[in-house]
Formats: sequence, structure tokens, C-alpha cells
Amino acid sequence: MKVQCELCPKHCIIASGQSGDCRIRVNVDGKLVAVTYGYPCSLHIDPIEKKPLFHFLPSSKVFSVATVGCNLHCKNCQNWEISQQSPVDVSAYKASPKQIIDISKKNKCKAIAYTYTDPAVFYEYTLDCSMEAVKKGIKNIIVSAGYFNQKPLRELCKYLDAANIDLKALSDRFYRDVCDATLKPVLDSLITIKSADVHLEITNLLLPTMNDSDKDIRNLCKWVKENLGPEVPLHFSRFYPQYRMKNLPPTSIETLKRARDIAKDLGMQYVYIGNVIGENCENTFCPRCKKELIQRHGYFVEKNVVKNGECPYCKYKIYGVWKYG
Amino acid sequence: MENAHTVNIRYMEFGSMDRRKFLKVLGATLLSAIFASLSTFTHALPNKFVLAVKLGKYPGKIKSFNEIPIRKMGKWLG
Repeated sequence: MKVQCELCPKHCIIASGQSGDCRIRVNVDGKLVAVTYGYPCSLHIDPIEKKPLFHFLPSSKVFSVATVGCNLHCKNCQNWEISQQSPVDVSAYKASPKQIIDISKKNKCKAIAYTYTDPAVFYEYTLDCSMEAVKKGIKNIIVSAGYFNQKPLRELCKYLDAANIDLKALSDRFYRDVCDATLKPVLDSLITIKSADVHLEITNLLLPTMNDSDKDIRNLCKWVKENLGPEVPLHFSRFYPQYRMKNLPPTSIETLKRARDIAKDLGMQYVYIGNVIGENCENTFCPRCKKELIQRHGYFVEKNVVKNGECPYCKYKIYGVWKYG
Repeated sequence: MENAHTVNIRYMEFGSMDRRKFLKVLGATLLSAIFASLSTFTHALPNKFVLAVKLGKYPGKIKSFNEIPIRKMGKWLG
């Protein structure tokens, strides 16, 4: 008997014994099973700035969890060794949601990030870990492409505290050609997450010649500003040749700075450049008085003067979650 | 009486027919072998996969919880 997966917009119809497009959701005798439930392939402790989340509990430690598989197949995937593999080919650890919470607490992590691959495909595991984490006072973060169906995403949002969503381009053609996906569900997810009061930051990886024209950047910034608000932090990230896109050069620093300038000119309040060290483009400035509030170097915070979520100089409210609790 | 030329032609005709048959048989054998191996390949994975899942196991290699090398700063992006 065939089954249809309703987790993501791909709506895979899966024959018995076969898996969906993500490789991990399998039809076992007419029952849909997530084979990676309880089997993470990567468990690490990261600074929260690595997600990147710059406005959510700065300089805190995050316990990062990932299982193998992904519902997108981006030709430029930077974690393709785990995201574009079958569970048969990648070893995993047996860890129940309770064990994940225990190990996070033991390592003094204030939050758990479901990251590296996409929590959309290990949804049930993410949801159960998140429910356990909430009981123990641990925050939940997703780092995702946002390719969810609305119903499961709304359910997950009840337990989420923050999300970094990768908005790859404001072009359906780009999503179809490069990611094997479509744009609209991602935009819907962004609106759902923001309206569910989950702290939101957006990453846009700039691929030379693919999504880095002035028009591309302007369209993306306009959409974010109009639909999510100018306060949502926007991270322009540098691309390095990877996976099936080794033919492209790395994104130039000039392009990243041009993107930042366009975003700022359009009124985005917090714009950062990522995957680049030493360009001094990761600091936070007050949108009103323009004074420097947070100084970062790489993934580390060197100075943070934000007090009670406000600029100490002009009392402007800075978007984000600054206090644990 | 056959001359050398006729024999040669007959031999060639006969020979080329045999070669054709041989090539046909070889082609068919190779195709069926390729098809068989392909279907074995495509079927082996999901079956193994599903069998493991049915038994409540992860289909890949499983390492014990105590073996987790929790790195500070994971190697993957994000």
C-alpha cells in the first residue's frame, strides 16, 4: 500500500519498501517511519553565533543535533556529506530525546539547535526533543531551509524559541534549478515563524552569478522588510565552492558588502556578513543612534553593551532575546 | 565446382551470420546480466533498509552513546 508523506511540500507518495525524496521517511508495510528517529549522526557544542543567531542569547553555548538526510538537494550544499546521504551509508549514535536533554544539561548548554541537515526531515525527533527540553528549561532552535508544510510547522513552533531560516533567493526558478524545491512554502514558513513569536533571523548565501545581482538582493530585502519587518537580522553569507557547484568562484567580499549596503539602504536594521573573518562586518549597531553595541570576531563576542534589550545610549529597543529565562 | 572466390564468399556469409547470432546472444546475455544486477542493486537497498527498520534498527552502522565525540565547534556549518 502506498502512503503519502505530508510533512513537507514535496508530498512524496511512497510505495511499500521505498523511501521519500529525503531518503529517511520510509513506507514499512503501509506505515510511514522516520528511520533516523533517535539516531543522530552529529552531536556538537557550538557558539550560538555559528548558527548564525546574533540576537538570541549572545555568546551562549548550543548543543547541536543532526540526523542524516534532507528534503532539499542544493547543488551548493556545504554539509552534503551528511545531508545528501542515505542512512545506510552514515553511522549514527543511539540517543533518545531524554538522553539529548541530559547531555545538553551536562555540557551546560542553554539551548538545543536542530541543525546541520534539516530538522524538517527529522521532525518527530525534533518535536519530541523540543517538548522534553521545554520541561527542563532549555531553549529550542531550528536552523532550516523552512521547507515545511504549515500544519507540522505550526505544531513545532509551539516549542521553538528561535529559528534561522535560509532564504536562498527570492526566485522560484532558483529554488527549482539549484535546490530541487519551490519558493512559496519557504516564504509561508517565514511568515508563520515570525507570527508565532519565534525569534527569527535570515541567512542568504550569495552564489556568484546565481542570486547576487542588485535586483536579486533588492527583491529579497524588500520582501523581508514588507512581510517580516526591518528588525529581522539578515545574514549575507559567503559561498565557497562545494559539492556540485565547484565551477563557481567564492563570493567576493565586494559582492557581500554591496548586498549589505543595498539592505541597509532599503531600511533593514541589522545586516551582517557571514563566513568571512576579519572584515569587521559582524558587529551590531543601534539603528537609531548608530553606536556600536556588540562587537564580534568570528563566532565570538568581544563586547556587548546591550542592557535589558535596549541601546544603553538612546534606549532604543533592540530586536532579540537577550536574557535567559 | 566452386572456385576460391565462391568459397570465400560462402565462408564469409556463413561466418558473418554466425557472428551476428553470436553478437545477438552475447548482447542479450549482457543486457539481461546488466538488468539483473541493476534490479538486484535497486532492490537490495530498500529491502535491507526496510528489514532493518522493521526490526526497529537504524539501517546504517550504529555507535554506542558512550562513543559520541562531542566536539566544541562542530565541523558542519550551521
